[in-house]
Amino acid sequence: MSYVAAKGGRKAIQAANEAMEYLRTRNTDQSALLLETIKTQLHGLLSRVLSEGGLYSEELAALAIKQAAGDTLEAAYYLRAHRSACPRLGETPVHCGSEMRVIRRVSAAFKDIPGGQILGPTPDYLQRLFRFELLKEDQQAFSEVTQRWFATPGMDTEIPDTFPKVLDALRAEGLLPPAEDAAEKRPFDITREPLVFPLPRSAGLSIMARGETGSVLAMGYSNMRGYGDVHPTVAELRVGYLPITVPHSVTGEPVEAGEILMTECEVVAMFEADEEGAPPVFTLGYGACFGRNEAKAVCMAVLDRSMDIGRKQGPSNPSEDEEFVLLHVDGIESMGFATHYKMPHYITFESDLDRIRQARNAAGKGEDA
Amino acid sequence: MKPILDVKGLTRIHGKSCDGCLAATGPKVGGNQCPHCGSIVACADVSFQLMEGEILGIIGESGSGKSTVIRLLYMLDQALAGGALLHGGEESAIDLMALNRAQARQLRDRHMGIVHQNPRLGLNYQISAGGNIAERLLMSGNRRYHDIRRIASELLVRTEVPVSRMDDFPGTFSGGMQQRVQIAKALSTRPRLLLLDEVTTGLDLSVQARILDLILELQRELGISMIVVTHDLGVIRLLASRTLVMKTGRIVESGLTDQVLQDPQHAYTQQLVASAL
Amino acid sequence: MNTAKRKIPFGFIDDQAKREIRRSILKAIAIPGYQTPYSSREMPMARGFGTGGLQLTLSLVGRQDVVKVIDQGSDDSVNAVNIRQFVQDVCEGVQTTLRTQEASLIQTRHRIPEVPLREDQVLVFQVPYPDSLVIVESNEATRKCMHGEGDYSRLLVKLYEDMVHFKKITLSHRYPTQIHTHYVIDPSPIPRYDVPRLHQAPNLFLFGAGREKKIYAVPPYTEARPLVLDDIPFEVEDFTHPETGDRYCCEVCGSDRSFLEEFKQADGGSVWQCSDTDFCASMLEAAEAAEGVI
Repeated sequence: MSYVAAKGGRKAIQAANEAMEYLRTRNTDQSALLLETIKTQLHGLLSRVLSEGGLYSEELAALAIKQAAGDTLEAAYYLRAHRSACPRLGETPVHCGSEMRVIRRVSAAFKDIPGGQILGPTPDYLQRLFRFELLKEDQQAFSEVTQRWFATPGMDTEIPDTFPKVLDALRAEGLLPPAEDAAEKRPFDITREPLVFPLPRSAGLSIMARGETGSVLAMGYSNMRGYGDVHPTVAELRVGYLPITVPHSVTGEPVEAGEILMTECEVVAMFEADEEGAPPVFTLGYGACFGRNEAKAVCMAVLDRSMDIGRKQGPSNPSEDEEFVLLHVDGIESMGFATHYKMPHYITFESDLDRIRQARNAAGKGEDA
Repeated sequence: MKPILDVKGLTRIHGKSCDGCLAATGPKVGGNQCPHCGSIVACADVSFQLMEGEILGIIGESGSGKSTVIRLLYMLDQALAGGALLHGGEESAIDLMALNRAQARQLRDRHMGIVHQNPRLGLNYQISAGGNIAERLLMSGNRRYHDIRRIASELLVRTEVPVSRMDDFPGTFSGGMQQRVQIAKALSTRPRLLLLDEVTTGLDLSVQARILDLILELQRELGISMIVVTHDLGVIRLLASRTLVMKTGRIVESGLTDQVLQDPQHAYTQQLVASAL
Repeated sequence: MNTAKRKIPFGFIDDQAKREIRRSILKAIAIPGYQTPYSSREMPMARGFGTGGLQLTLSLVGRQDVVKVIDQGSDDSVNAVNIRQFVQDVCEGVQTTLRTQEASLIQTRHRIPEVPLREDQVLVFQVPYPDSLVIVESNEATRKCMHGEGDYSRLLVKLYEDMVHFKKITLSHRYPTQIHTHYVIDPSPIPRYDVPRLHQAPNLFLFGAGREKKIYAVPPYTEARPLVLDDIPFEVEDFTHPETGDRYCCEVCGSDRSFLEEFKQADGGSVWQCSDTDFCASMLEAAEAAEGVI
């Protein structure tokens, strides 16, 4: 019977999976991508997948990128799904960004900051012009860059392990609200606790830290453009390696377990009137994520600020609406749901057809309900 | 006549409030912001009775606290102190200030009605005029479609809205007609108490007059007790048998409307009456 | 990094997650129709592809269970195949079946099997939208209050407005259903045909929304009624011919009482076929057996 719906679902799936694998490997002259190549030469992609995946493993992130053929949403998903099957062995204490081994720190607020500005590796001032010599690049070229880099004058200058926060100076002057003692409060764990709105700030920060870069950017940008008025000043943006400690299994003393590359952004925004008549202080926004992803960190800091405004005064635009922002920035969720519409909806559509036929019928008869 | 509403010591302060708030504000001081803590005393120690079938007027300038009293009585806001007993019905008197959200909603849906100055607060513009009336009937537990259609069309006839417009959206109506739909909606469950908040403000004089006539007719026909809040002496003169005068959150004068208007005792009332002449 | 294949735990998700989900299930059963929030893990398939139902299935499944997975009533739909395969891969020793009667745990998308379920069977729904109020209110915190107060007037107004504008209720699937006289649930995108079958059923119905992170339940022998205006009868999908008034029959098994899917033909006409493939096959077998006897 020709009208029977496609049967053989299992075979179809298998063939589709094989087709995907063929697409990735079809040029048999090429050598397979090495994870090491992805980690170094595609470090921007790696950063993005690490932060959206919410699991810091450069090795697994590189494998995910390879397996997902470079699709960031898919690659981040591999990390998330893997995480679901991992038992929790322990928890780190709350770490402060001031412990970071900095490779880049800039402040838009002050020309000179304690410890100095460090431009570090940034694409900000690269002229976006094609370098056609990269079309033919070899190992020799790589070594030359390395040699040049290490021969740069001043390379042997000692720089401190850590730098003070720009915010500390403002805080000392009393221009900022007192710091919440984050170490005292256990942060909300979005992977283990149900979300019930309104959420604590730490939950919002966690959701945004894993947020899809483009989504966080779009929502943050909407506020900057005029659907909101946070008007941030970047007090400090830093990129670097944050040492992670875990309690020693016997002594309970913190032991360094490794370090993770992170981007952290702190913005200062205009002050609010205080109900209790205390002198006005600046307001703050905080953003941080795995890897190097500066646009995401800046937008996250703006959204942290805008949602605080929304919580206090009621949201007057999307970026101030906690539910709107936090339920729509996750790439894994939005991508999954958007693609699910491709799945069969025969039953629901049959039901829709029934309603429209019945309604047309009623309209045609001039039926008076 | 029996009282339907007993209001005692109703107080609402915006802000953190302190012990000095009440003493440091009010008509004698001439302000409602507490100099100690900066809180705003929206209304304080408001007490009055509303009799069955009576229309009580509350008059005052903007910021006098009259709309706060309405918001508190309709349980859209929480009082800091005071109570408001609603009588009538089979059950014993209910303190409106002591209800939880669900109880407040149920009481509002069944026994109270409100007409706002801005019809956008009282009507949903995404649904038809009839749907707005239906919503209130559905909230009060009537789920019969044909009943709801009948009641809604009767109410629209009664409030002089063409029944042919019943299935149109309120946004396509004139200002006066939107107010009539609001009134029809408020009346749909035959409330014991109807609150009218500046219902004619902003309308043409001729439209105002017809709406005020309608309110008077409804009161005579249905015997609904009403509180009318306005800054317009004309509205008070026409509708209210008794009037409260409010200033900086306090009642400064009360009495029969004619008496208050002809022989105002408080300086503020005198000023108000003089300015209207 | 250890390149040897890591052993995946039985049921894929870790024990802590399973415990949380089981606790949420108990709460959902205790408060029929209440949307119990849970943290919801990411699964190896995309959100929207049944990750909520899958987490319920994986938290409940034991080695003695027999699992059936259907999508649109069919065991052979790609999504059903994929989920069944995953359950087989991560739950060593668990049997799967295509037969409704043999299954102890059935995960479904968009249908309730035609054959009435028994007390010893559990039906797990995949849920895209857990909240029936979302069609009238987008803010979740507000919706939570409305549910708490049992305030469904805005949904009822939607029915009123439908009658005014279309002379028919236009809600086709995901029909709001009131459980145990209080909470109104979104029964997942099942057709209206299946809604009355939730009422006083002997089996447990569990609903899992992965992306929206909610679990809710219709316990056995519980009241489940579609939200209606009292004098406008609830209508299920009509499978009768508009002119003759005859009910369409399944082209394959001849059933005239099952939910049918429509297949458009090249000549513009339609033929109809059972959406529940196991039911259809059973009908066919029964007919063939009867013929064999004769």
